[in-house]
Amino acid sequence: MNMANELLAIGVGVLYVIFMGFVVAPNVGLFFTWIHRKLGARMQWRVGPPIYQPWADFVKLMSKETLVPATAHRTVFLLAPPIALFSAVLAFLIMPFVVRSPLEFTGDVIVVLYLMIMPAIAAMMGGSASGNPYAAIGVQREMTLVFSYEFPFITAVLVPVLKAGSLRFADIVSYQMERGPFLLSVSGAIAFAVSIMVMQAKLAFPPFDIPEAKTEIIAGPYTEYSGASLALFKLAHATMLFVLPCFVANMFLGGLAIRFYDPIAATIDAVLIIVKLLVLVIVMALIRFFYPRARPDQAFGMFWKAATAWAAIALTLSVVSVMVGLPYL
Amino acid sequence: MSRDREVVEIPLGPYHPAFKEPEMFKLYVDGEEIVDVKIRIGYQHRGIEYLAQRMTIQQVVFLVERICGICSTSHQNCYCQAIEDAMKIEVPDRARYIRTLIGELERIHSHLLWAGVALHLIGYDTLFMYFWRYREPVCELFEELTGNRQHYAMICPGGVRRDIDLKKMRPKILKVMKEIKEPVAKLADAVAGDKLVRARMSGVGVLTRQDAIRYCTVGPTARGSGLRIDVRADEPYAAYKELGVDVKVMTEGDVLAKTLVRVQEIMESIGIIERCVDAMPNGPIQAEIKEYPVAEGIGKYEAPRGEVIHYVKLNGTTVPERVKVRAPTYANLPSLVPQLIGYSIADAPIILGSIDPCFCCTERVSIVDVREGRTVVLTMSEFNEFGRKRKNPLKVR
Amino acid sequence: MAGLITWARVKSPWLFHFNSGSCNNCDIELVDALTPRFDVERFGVLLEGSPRHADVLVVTGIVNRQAAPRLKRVYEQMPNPKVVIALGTCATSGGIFAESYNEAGPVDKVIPVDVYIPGCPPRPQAIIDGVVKALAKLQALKGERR
Repeated sequence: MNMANELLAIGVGVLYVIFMGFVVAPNVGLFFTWIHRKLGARMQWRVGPPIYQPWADFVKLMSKETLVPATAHRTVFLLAPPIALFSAVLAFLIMPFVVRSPLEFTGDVIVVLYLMIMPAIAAMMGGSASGNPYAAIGVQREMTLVFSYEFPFITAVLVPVLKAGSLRFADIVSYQMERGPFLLSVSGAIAFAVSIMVMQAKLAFPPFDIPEAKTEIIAGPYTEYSGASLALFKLAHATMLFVLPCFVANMFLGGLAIRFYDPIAATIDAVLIIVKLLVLVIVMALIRFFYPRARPDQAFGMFWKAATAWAAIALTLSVVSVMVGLPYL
Repeated sequence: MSRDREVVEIPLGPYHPAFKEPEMFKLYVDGEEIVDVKIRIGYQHRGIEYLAQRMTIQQVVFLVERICGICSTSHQNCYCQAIEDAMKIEVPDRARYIRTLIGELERIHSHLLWAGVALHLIGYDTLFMYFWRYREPVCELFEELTGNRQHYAMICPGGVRRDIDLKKMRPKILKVMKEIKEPVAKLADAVAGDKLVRARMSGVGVLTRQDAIRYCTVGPTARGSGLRIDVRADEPYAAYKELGVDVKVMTEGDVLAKTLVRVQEIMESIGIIERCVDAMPNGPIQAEIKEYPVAEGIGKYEAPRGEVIHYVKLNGTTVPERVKVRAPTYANLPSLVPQLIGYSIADAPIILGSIDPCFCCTERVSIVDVREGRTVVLTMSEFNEFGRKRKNPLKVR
Repeated sequence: MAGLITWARVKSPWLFHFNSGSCNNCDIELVDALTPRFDVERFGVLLEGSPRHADVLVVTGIVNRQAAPRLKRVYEQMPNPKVVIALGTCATSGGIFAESYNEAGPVDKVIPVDVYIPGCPPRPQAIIDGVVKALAKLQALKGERR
């Protein structure tokens, strides 16, 4: 009997991984990239691409030759894109989405934080392995940017961790489901704002599209990539456009769970999931299309000074709130 | 000045061909600051003056139009003025007014194009789209007036090639002017007042009045530094004596000043076109060329980028002996030296852009680090990219 | 599967633009096609910065002597399947500059050309039409080496 249950559990887990990881994550991510392109076009008095565009782009790229430059380190060059994609998908799988993840464990917040840096590191690996100085320049910039935003990000993420008293997503989400999202506390709101700024940089969107160019010019670390390799990098980026809002929603917006035991609550939850994610995606699009590029010194200043300061304030407030027992702080 | 240091050229990446190319701009930098500039040109070289000596005077009209796509009618006008000066032909009144109309329309289209590109250089793509959207009605108007969106081929020695049916076209012209006047004015105010734009443009790339005079700059580059020079006002040609021009001048000399001069010129051009269309006289549009003398002639014209000069030498045949073109960018390029020195590399693209240079994006820019004796070679588009992101391309290890 | 790939290639043509010595008019009309009036992003057309990311090489200008070896290099760097468009009269035949001593082109003397778009400059509509014709060629290629 036990053996059957265990096998069933494993079977469900595998199905979950396959479905969520291969079906949901990349496709929702691609859909979100379409939202960005369409919104951007509309804001520029244009029509924009049709809804199937990101999928057409992906299939087209997969069907092209993958050229590896003679000056490149072949293995690293070819390994970087799948590493990026795999990390993004795994990060998503560990987080709760609709249901608790079968892969959850204590400390999964830390692991997910690491996994979410991997796409940037993979881009740097690939860029360095390209043997192309433009890529090298892009790598250099990416590195400096990552160093500048990770610190305030981790500080901001410590706020929900402290308040919920746990390094486990499931606990953080259930705490919010009982007591309201952390966004509705002072420290939570500040940390949330910092996270939005970091998300923008993690996705290399304006004003922080410093390591990689937007349209006609150099592609930074991705300059030498073509065909299937490039397709995987782009898919990894699209997946991150889904993974990051999920992360922020889990940390500050009360999570993305559905209370299946009550049909009315479940419906509300389902709608809320869509609303939370779409709001985050749209906010990022608005920032992206309304701002010009920041100068690197401006961007680094913003993260090292302003973002870090605010994150520190939020953290202090959350410590106080926990010690003194004032949840709204 | 440590220019005597050994300079090592580092060819960058597989995109660059194996041989070394002479560069267009050599920026000597100390850290982030530009300390000296060397300029070399010759990349768009297509042998125009050589070809001109192998074509008839009339054929050269179409050749010079293609010197530049954006200021094509400026070159045509200027060349024809030079021929008319040599042959002592007087252009009929109506032709002069039509020339003015086409010339001012081109100025609007060129400045709108430049504004879009300049904003793109500092990362404002949405505004780039916006400015180019308002260019479209002007291009379409050109098509209705002349048959082509660019390269209008309207001018010929002695007058213009095609007449304009004013009864039909006047309402259309006025409609387009009205259509773009208000949005462009509003946009210009928004851009000039925007904090981020000001941060990138104000106080950057300053060309002092003395330097502007010393380097013989022309056009909006000079007018942004307080020099009230404009061929349309100083030596009126076409119909400018009758229509008058209010020359727009600013004194700060920075990128913002040059931008504002151009924007104001757009508004002024709209006004001139409206007056021109109302005042256009009837009459012939072309004077006859009766003989081919031995003579020399000079034509001067205020192109969107500044003063163009064409010189022709005729030897009695239908083929010119010599045609010499001095385009405004050629005059303005040396003035980039004082404009760039003292500013950071990251400002360089917008400073280069502020003189509205007329060279293509495959030009090379090379940056020499005097401190470390290294050179980094980039294409113009990569260089612009560094400017938009305010990166230092020398930080490559 | 083949049908899906062909569909994707036609729906997602990424362009790389190379100016080999032109008066810029063709370049402007090409960029114009991106702007709100024509908005080629509707058709999935994007102007890319790296030749490695592109499917369609659009060449303007006469291909003067400095540009010719560079053009060849860029062509070789593009992954298959790819098509080449010669944009404008100068790229197609040299136009009024054909007799110039600096002319190393036109484009088909340096690299194989699939579509010629004549015009001085060609209108954005003509450019879009040319790209569509190039896509038809792309459909037929199926990743063969050229």
